[in-house]
Amino acid sequence: MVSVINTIDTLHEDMIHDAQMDYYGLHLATCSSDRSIRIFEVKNGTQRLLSTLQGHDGPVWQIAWAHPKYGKMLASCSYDRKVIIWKEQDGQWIKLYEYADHDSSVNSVCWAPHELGLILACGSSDGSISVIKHHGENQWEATKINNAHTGGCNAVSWAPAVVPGSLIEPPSQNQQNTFVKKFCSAGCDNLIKVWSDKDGRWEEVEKLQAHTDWVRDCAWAPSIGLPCSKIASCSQDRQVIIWTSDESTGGQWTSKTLNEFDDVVWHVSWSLTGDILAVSGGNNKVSLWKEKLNGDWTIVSDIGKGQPGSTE
Amino acid sequence: MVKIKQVNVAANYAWSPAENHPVYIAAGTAAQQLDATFSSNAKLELYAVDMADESYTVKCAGTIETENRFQKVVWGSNYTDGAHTSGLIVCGTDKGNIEIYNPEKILENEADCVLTTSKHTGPVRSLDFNNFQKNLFASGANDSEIFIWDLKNPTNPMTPGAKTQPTSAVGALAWNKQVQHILASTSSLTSGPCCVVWDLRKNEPIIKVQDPSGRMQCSDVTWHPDVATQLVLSSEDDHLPVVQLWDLRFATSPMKVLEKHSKGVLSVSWCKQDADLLLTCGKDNQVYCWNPNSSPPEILCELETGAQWCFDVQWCPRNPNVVSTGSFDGVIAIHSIMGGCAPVDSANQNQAQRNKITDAFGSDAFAGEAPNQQQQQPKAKSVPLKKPPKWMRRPCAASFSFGGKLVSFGNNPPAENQHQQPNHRVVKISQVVTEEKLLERSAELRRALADDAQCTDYCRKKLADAQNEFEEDFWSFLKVNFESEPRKEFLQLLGYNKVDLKAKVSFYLEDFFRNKTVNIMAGSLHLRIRSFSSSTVSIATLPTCRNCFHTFHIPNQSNTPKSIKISRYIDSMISQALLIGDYEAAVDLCLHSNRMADAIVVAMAGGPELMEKTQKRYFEANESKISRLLSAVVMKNWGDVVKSCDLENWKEALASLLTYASPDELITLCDELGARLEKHPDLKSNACLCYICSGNIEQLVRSWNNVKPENNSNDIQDLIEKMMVLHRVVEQRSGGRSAASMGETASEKLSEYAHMLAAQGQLNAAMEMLPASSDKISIQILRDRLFHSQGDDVAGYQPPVFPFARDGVRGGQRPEAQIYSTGLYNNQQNQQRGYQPTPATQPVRSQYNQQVTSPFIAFKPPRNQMYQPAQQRPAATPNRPQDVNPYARPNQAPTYSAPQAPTSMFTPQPVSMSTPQVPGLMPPSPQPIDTSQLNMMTPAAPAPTPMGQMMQPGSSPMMQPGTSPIMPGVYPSSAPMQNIPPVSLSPLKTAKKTQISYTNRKKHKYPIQIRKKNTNVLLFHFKPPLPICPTVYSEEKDDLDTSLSDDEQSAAPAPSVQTGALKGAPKAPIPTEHQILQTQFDELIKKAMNQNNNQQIKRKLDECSRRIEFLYDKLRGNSLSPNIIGGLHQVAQSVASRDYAGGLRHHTHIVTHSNFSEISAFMPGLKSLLQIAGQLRI
Repeated sequence: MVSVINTIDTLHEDMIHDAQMDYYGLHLATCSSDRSIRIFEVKNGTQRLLSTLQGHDGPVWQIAWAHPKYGKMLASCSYDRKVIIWKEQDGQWIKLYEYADHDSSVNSVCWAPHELGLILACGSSDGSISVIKHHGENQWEATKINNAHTGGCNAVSWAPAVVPGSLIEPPSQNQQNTFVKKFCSAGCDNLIKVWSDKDGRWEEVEKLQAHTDWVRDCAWAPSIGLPCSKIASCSQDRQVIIWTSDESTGGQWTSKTLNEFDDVVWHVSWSLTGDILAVSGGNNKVSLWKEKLNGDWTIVSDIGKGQPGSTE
Repeated sequence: MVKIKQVNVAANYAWSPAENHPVYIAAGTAAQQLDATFSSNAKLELYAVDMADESYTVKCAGTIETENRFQKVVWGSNYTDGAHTSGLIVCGTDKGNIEIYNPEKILENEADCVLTTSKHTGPVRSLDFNNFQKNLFASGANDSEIFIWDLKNPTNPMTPGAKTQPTSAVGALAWNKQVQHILASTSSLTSGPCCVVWDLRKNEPIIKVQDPSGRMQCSDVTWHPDVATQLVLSSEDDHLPVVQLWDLRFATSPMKVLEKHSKGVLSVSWCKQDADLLLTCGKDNQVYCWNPNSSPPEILCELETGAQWCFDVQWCPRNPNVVSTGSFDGVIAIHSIMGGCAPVDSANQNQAQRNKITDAFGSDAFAGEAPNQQQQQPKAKSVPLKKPPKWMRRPCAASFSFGGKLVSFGNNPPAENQHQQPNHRVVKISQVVTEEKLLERSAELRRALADDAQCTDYCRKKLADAQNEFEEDFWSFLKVNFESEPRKEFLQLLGYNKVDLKAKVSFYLEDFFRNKTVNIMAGSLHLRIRSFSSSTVSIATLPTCRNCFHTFHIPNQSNTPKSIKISRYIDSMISQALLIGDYEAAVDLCLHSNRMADAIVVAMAGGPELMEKTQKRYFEANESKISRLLSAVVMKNWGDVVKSCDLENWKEALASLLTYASPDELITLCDELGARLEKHPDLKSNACLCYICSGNIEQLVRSWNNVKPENNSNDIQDLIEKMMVLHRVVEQRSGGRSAASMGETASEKLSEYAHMLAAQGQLNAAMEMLPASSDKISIQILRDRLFHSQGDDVAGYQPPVFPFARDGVRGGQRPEAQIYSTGLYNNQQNQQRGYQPTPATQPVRSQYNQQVTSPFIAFKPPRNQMYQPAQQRPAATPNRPQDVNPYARPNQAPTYSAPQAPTSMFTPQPVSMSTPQVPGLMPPSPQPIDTSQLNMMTPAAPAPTPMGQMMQPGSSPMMQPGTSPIMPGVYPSSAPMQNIPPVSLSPLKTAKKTQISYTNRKKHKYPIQIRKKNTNVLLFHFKPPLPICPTVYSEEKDDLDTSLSDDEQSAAPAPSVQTGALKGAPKAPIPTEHQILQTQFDELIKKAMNQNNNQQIKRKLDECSRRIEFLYDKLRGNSLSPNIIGGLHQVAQSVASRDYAGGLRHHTHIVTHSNFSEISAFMPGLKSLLQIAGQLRI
């Protein structure tokens, strides 16, 4: 059952490309081809525009909220080849940091799990991925993975913070150094790649091949307490594939096609409990999927064509 | 645009169709040029353009030798269901042939030409597949020859109509993208129409496009991807190097002219995926990407291809980010229109190319061209298109956020929305519910937990709905907990009914007597007694025996003993022993002669010790089926029973425990029995029943996991229902256990359940389910998230402590004064109703007030003396030992309780609270600091506290240069607080960060004061130099939250903890200002006791009185927060005025506005007292 509880007219002057709620679900950030980012307070079915962030010179593709322990912080990436980190300070949003070391559109930004520190991964159409790390005092250091995806990187998504061998639950603090730092990326080379931090260098540890066209998006599922990693990917080839790797059986990745859709699939998003996958495709269709006990995926809700979130 | 790959071949080529994967380029040796070897060989090759392959040069995947060289190559998609799954490659040769190849054969290097036709007379320069009927293609050659071929019947091509006059070579053909029977052809003649549009249904040209200038030499044509009537034509004339956009509806002149090329334009390609992208290339070695739809047409991107003409440009049909250019230097270059950085080895490739030329022409080939050389190098970095292509613009997305919310948007094509609100602006937030059943059951459960009556009904309903015996047992066991005498009911459930049993016994006995069977036991006993009494024993010395005698004598008078003679000798010895009062000897004798009953009777007279001994010996001597039970009953040795009973008889064991064991024993014994059962493969499910009897939720959960591993949400709901009902039972049974009863496993389950509810959007319900007492970080995180996601204003809850170490980042340079000078502090002060601070102590008190703001405002107590301690605290001088007398000056709590008060009243101890914190009594080592809290402070990322203090051990802010460690001497308590430099704020950037990242912390304008006071107190207790860290930490806690201790455990049920400081001393008196509470409540209990003669109510009253004792303990310990105390005073006032309903209202207010664990020990008692008082109308 999906029922609309808020309808927000963002007043963007062009297409919206991303809409993200913050950690508590109180603030909504949207970004658009009109080059702006808007921040709304969303409460009890009402909303209030708090801020409009101007700073990009091109369409803003994605936004990502940082963990609240770092304050109200937002990262955005744009066709203008820039990544901007915004921060609310004294009730004002300011540009905290601007990263402009990509040669082409930056298509995706994703914050690392907060346990790892303040780290942002950015995927660009120039084929490279940047990992930007905060070192205190607003000092940021970028590591670049060149030629990560020939033809461009479309999406990046971090693995949940787990300590190797103890995927049972995310351990408490102070273990920053023992966390596995991993993320996956999706590209125009039809691949999903898994990257792992090895002594400060990012190494490609996995190359997942099954899509036959651009991989539009990838999403690493939240840890649900099992020693099993899961990545969902969606592609121009209209397929959504679920990749799983079970640590107990050697960590080999296996793929399973969730479904073949009748249009390009643009976006996949896991519920916070990791049991439902929202798939958004062309024709503005959103469908929700759930894994059955036998490992098959079944649709739990198909949200109307052209009217995401409608209850018709 | 940047070059990413290249194919080293001089060829006419075609991309594989969009449907095909992987992507290939089919390259047929170009007819119009000769390669360096001057060879006249011809080849058709396939190159795999694999983006996943990082190499720069595209590898050849298959080659076949052909007879002829090629003028044009096209690749059509598959048009049948079987045969050619990769489609067919159609080639026009310079000899006028059309050759058709199967790409799959080429991959196998098999020169298998599917078809060759030779209808055309001259070189076949143009070919195009129909966009709708994939089996149709058109071909054009010299002399205006055009044929339409059907691959299904390739022998008999048709013509689109009569040849155009004057005839010329057909340079290009293009099928319309919208209307399948429309074809455009170009003519290279400047005289006559440069482009003819044919309607194949009519078999005639419908429009002849004639350039008004008459100079257009048409090289290429392409249709608009979306608009049926538009096409572009390119002119290869160097004097008119233009591209014209025509709309056939206005075919007199071009709609737009794209002018930029400096020499003739050779090729155009319109992007199928985005009509705003049109590529053109020409003899000026330039490639331009246009937006032909903008006015004026805009160049989005340009690319210099090198030293050679670029004769061909194409979009990759499958990957529109990729375009290819064919140039006369024998290279097909593959570019990414996304720009970016060229692969590293492209430079090497360039070098390789140069080397080749150098080899061919000698080393001085480039000698005179140094300046040009730079130009030939492709730029390392290149600009992407000015505006992103359509396929980059994500039109829709739905993302999950906390609480099962789905944020979605979708951009409908504008055409569909012309009359509506622009759809592209709208974002929708939806609630996703996938577990409706779970929510239903959860709501039901929560309703049931609201009160006893509901709960009983709930159990009854559950019982009725039970699907199996196990469930049935479970719910019946839970249900009886709400009956007046649960133990009896338990027995009944186990199959032991007192009433039934009585009936059975009497029935049995009647039967017995009816049959005139002699009761040997009774008979012989009485005989012996008779003989005993007949001797000269003074009855007075044996009062017990005399009773027995009386009992038995009368009814048995007429009986004639038979065995009396046999035992005469022993009788006389026993008699003697009794006469001299040696019971022990008498017992020995009786036992010896196996006269058990006698022995017992005598032992009864001999006192408890002898009795016990005799019983023991009796049991030793007698082994019968029930002797163990008898033994246990008499000896009260239940531990043994539990430990050693046969598990098959667990019911009996449990029944006996329920009958005989004391409440305290019952718990441990049931647990023990449960533990044994758990290990039994067949009986383990029954362990749960034992845990219900003992109220051990933790064990219940564990054994449940054993019995029923859960699979889905319903299973966990099953468990949670039982847990919560049992929790309620336990809570009711004894307030003291309630908080402790949620063990780790249980907490985990609840937290898992809360997560599930939260994921369904049931934030409030999830919050209710979270164990209040748990200090697990995961639970704290969830609580924090649940609380704030409900908008910071959740009735009945206080803001939880932020469960993460804050790690602020600040940008910009702002003077700190500005940062801290917001109006928040003043606002805060305005909220301080009830207090009229005097200026001198204002900062300190405001600090306190801030700490207690919410509870204080929530409830306005009369300004009475109970607040005095807080007010006086700042003034208290800890260095004056005479103040330290908690007993003599109960209403001057400060000195005694000051060390405690800041912690217990104002310190929501955020993490693990297993030990109460009494800073003044703690050793001055880091140990007293809550270690879990320390854990949160990661050394690598120093975590500033809300007060802006570094939490790094050893780097206390107070050690910063320019500030002094806090010592009593440095800041005497009498010093005006305002003079204290804001030590923690100024030198630290981190401090600044936090202040901002957490705006509601800004009110801590004087963070130093409490610390100083605490320090003083600590120093007073500990003469040795005080390490500064502990102080900082404990201070940290003070500030972590303004609320009163959601997590505070120190005030939790066990009263002994509170009074720990008083251990060894007699109970302290209740502070005088609170004695009224004791007086009122005790009085009320007494009155109720006197009024009442109902046993059940009496028991309840006993329980009330027991519980209220906890309250007194807390009062003695001064460990209750002011709002609770205030509330209690109001209750007492109501009691005084006999307004019990009012009292209950105040009671409810306290309960809903306070930390549960702080008051759970006594509030239920108080409640039932008020209820009883109301019932009895006293």
